[in-house]
Amino acid sequence: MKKTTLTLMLLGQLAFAAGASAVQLFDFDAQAVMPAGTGSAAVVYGRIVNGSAVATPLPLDFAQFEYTIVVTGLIQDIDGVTSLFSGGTVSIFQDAATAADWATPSSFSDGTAVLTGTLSAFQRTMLTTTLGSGAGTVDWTGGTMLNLLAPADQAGWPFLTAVSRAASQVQPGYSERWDGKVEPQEEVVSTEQRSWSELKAGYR
Amino acid sequence: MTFRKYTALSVVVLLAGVMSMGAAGARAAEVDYVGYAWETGGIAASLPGDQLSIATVVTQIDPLFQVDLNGVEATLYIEGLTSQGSTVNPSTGATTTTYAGGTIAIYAGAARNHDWGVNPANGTVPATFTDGDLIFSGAFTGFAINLLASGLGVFEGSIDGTGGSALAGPCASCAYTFAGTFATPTGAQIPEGYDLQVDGVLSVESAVGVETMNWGSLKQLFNPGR
Repeated sequence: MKKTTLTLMLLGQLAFAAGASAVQLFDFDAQAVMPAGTGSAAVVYGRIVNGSAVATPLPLDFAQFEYTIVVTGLIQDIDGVTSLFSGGTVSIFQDAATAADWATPSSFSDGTAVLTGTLSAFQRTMLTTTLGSGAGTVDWTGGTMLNLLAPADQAGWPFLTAVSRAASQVQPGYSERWDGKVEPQEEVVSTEQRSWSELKAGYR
Repeated sequence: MTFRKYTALSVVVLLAGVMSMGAAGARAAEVDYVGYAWETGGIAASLPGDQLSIATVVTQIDPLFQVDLNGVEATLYIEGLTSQGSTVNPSTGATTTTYAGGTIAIYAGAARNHDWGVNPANGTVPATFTDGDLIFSGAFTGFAINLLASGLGVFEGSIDGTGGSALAGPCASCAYTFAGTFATPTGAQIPEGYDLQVDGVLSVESAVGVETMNWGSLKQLFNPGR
């Protein structure tokens, strides 16, 4: 009990010390195959490219592994300047065996699924003939790292991406390049701001 | 020839490689960046004369730039974009703002010190995004941003290369950048005082002289008297 109390106090101090929120996100560079029309599904294959530059919401080892993101089953319900989608699943894989290559889509979905979830309410708006922007919401529901996220931190992650249809940006066999991110609503940490009286009240 | 690292020998090697692939055209060297943008007076109502700045950290960079992100931090900073005013597309509701001027620069240094802070410009912006060695610099020849009321948006700009260690010399219309922009309604995390979260790509033409030619033509280059 003494150790537990001390740990809580230290965590409390850490929370108080961390004044400004840090930036955490999964930054990805992806290629998408868009559906020919409504009722068909889009699929997206991308690399997580944070490296050591921007913190990820979960501890990823970019020195040892490659991380990829795959979206499947994203059904296009409405086609237009703004297209609406439903039903997508999103997965983040960790793999050290096979380098991801857009010529071989399966190279993005091998390895260990560290996070899996649903992508809902995705909409993509084309703002010029070749450029657009998309947004949806991810709820994480599975994967080997899911339990590293507190239940309150597992839902409602914005999925945000730039979209380019320019020929110079799109790989053979794909229809769009997506450069975007998945990020929590706020910094994911094991601590939260709480007064000492609130902390003590939690143990009475 | 845009990038310094290519010697005449490597051009020959590339030429041979291109001929063997049967393809033509220079490969673009790319930089992936994420960060935040702000405009004096706010971007929701961009007025002529307002200044747009964008402070980002580089998450991925082509080896052609000779920057190893395992050893250094690279940042990309855009400044001096002067708003020319906005128009609204009645069919989409999108607001388009065009800008004049503006520069873009990539820096790399051992200090992993980038810090957006709040309410830029501040003690760390631009200071921690413009330190280190200058890798690439350019001047915008055109820049426009399109924003939707939903918070989604995108910008793109064309660039003349002006300097930096990765360039052998100035180059006209040799770079291009585009990025998604995300305002608060999208759920993007945005520090206080910034208007937009930004996630984009800079492409610089490696401009190595690749073209398809037969062996006879290639040999003729090295035997001009025959």
